[in-house]
Amino acid sequence: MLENFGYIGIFLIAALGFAISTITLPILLRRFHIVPKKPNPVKSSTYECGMDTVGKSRVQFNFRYYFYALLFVVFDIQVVFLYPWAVALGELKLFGFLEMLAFFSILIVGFLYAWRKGVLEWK
Amino acid sequence: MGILEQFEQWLVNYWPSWAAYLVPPLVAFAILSTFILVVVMAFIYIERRGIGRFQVRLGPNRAGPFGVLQPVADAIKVLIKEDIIPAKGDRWVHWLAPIIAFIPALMIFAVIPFGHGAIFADLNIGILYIIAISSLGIIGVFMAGWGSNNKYSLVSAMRTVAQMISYEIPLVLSIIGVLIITGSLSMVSIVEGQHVPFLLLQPLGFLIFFLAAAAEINRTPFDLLEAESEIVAGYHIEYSGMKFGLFYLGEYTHAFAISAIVAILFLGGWSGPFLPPALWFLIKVFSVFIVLFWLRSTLPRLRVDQLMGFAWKCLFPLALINIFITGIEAIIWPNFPWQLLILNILIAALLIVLWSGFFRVAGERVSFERYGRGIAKGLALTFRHLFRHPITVQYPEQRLTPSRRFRGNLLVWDVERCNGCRACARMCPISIIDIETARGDKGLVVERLEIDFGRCMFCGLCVEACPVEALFMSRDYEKASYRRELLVMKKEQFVAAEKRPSAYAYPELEAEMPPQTLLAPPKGGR
Repeated sequence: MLENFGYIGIFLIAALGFAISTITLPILLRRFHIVPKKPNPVKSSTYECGMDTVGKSRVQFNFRYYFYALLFVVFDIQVVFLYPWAVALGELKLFGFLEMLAFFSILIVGFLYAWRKGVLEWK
Repeated sequence: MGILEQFEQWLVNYWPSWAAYLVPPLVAFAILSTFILVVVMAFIYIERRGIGRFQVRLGPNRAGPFGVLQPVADAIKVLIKEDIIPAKGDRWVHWLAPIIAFIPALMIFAVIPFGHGAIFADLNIGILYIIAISSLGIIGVFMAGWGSNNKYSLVSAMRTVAQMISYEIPLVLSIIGVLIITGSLSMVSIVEGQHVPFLLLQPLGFLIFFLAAAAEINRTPFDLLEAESEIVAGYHIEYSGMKFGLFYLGEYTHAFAISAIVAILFLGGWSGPFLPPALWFLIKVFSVFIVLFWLRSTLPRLRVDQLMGFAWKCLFPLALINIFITGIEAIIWPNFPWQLLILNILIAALLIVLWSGFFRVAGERVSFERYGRGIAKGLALTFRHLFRHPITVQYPEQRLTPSRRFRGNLLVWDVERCNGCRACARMCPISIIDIETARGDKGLVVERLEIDFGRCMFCGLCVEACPVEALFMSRDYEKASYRRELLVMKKEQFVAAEKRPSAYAYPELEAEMPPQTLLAPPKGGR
């Protein structure tokens, strides 16, 4: 089984090589004058449909994104517990099921609270 | 035993063990990546042609027979384009983003079984690995949005992260139903444990997984990050050349991976009668992909509040309920008898109808009667479009005759009638008529007439202003040139031009004109 994980490592290295070689291929082709390289200030300016950028580009954004990020972290961690539970449910039987139900209900109370507080509304 | 292990054991006889261990995966990677590229090209071709037909268009059909070489042409174009890096952007982040966005999509294929033993690495945690890897792609997209230093791409990147993390929760929860039934995380044992496709045993899980997966790979109706009507092209707005090509490739590789995962988890993977296993697998993958772009060609894009509301208020609770229903079933009937199929389909239908009336999205109650039937009607309509004659024409070869009263974009000038009064030049709101006259024996003679049709907006005021009806609009609708100067018409060209006036100004000519060709003929035609 461990050698399968080694395969994954080889796959990752090969995929990295594949991606990097595809992305650097145009640089090689530039040597043979197949790919043009003629930068000018207008071309490399920020594309905003012809208008000049007003102020900074990295502006403040909606705080609602953080709410979703927090909810995501909570439920993604719950998923980490759920996967082994789901695989072993055949042996855990009713006890394991009720245990997970109890664990869930705690999180669901939090979810319902967030829902009632209007976190899920995008305004 | 997989094909790779057999290859390795055969190699051990000839080569040292480390080489025998290294070479098979590298060979397999080369074959696999070529295969993925071919399938992605097929996907792009099928999608563009298919969406064309769903929308009663022709679709790309110029490059090669039936346009088959269109993806190849696109690839070559992308490869030899200039690479533009925005001056204010972050160079390193801008360079790394496409690589990081692409690799996770490719890495998924390491654990996808294409047939008996035809799998790169049969991990015992296969599906968990896929979930862990596939969510890394968000980072690449966010880096692209941040590194471009563009407001559109930053908005798109924020939306992407919000959308992907929201839809990841229902995605991973909907798989758990399958895991409870099979009791294994390995992709191979999930396929081997499916005596009936889990589509029937887990209908609710399938629906949730399918919708969440469509959102994960950013297909319309969930393509908010690329909403071209709002934020131009989203996160890859500042990308060109091969870097854009890598994003594009990654998107379709991810679509292929998701279709393959749907086929493995819910449609029985490679298993099927008569045909060879790999063929069955490909048939299933392609049908999942066809349904994906069928949805894309039918449904309009969602708003961001609808999108998030749908994930958290509809898919997430339904996925939780699905887990517990499956859990109860697993405890009461551990062998999952076939009667459960009917029960589960009934439960799924009941839950969808009940739950859809339960929550509000953007202050509006989502009723299944309204949206469910509407979506079904739309899908049926686009399906019927597949068999209609496309209403676009092959333009330069096939031309349309316009309506008899069509007022086209060129002026016809009658030199005999013109008295050189210059009323047209004065009336023109954008002053593009340049006219010079000289005194002749019978009054004014036009010496020079120049009209810039590159700027003309065809308002027709010059025609109305003319007191002697020497100017009128023609029936031509084509005017194109590679150079702007060629769009300026001179006096000589006006005199030489064939006079094709519109019947709008000359109703007496109407009877002799050819009839209009209709794009969508009334019933019974064509």
